Amino acid sequence: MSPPDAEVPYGTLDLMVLKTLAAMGTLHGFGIARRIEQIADDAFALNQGTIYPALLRLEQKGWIASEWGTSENNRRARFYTITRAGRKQLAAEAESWARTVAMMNRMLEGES
Amino acid sequence: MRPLRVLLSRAAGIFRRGRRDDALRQEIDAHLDLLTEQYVRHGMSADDARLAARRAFGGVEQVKAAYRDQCGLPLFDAIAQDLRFALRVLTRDRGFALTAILVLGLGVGVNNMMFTIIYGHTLRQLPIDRPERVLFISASDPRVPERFLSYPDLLDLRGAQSFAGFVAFVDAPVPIGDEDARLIASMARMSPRTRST
Repeated sequence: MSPPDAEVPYGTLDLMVLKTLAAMGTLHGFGIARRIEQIADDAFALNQGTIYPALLRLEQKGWIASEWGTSENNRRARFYTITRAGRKQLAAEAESWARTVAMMNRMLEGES
Repeated sequence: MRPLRVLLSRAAGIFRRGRRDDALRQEIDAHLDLLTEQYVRHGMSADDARLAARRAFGGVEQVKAAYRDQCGLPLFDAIAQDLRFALRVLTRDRGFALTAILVLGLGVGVNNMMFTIIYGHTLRQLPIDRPERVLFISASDPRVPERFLSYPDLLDLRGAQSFAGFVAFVDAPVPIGDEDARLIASMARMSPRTRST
């Protein structure tokens, strides 16, 4: 098990955000961050702020859409939803991720 | 398609800088509030909760900076910044600015003049098709320093099959002004072209 202050593995945050939105529907940034932390279960510490550049990146690529709404504590917040292109991208990336993991597992088991 | 979309979105970001910054600040504030409330529910004091929320969020300014870098086109931003800086320095040091502008203006002007002259004098070709097929025919005679072709020579040449046509010319300098005029224009008289193709 990694120590709790381990970084988010490089390049995985976008995929995690996409998966969270695909599973949970529309969420604001805080909701996405909380969900990722729950799933991670202290495997790594998420700097919650890094969610926002990732959200912008995904929105610029057209994989998520956003609109303003009211949060549960009555503040203006932006709510994000995965788009159809985003779901396609998620499927493609999940598959490539699974391939990478399987390959690494074979490699590490075979050489021990 | 994806890169184009990102590029367009970034380009649009240039013009919405202020609004985007406001929106992000609002978004971050809402996030920090929600996080603080969560910690309070878990039994922290309000102050501790706010601190803990900031810690969990990470650097607010870093997030804003990363966000800004992703909006707009960094290259154009940098150029605009350089231009603003240049203008500021130039207005501060008027004498230097004036000298620089004068020197640059002179340099550009002189260069422009030189190239215009060289182009007109040397580089520009004759206003005819395929100038490489135009020949200058002259005669040489060891007995006289300058042997010009005569009109009968031209008539003889006109019988030659190898040429598409002939034009004869003779120098005819023309004085300009009245009798004590010093100005002489160099001119030439030309025969009409014969047998053109």
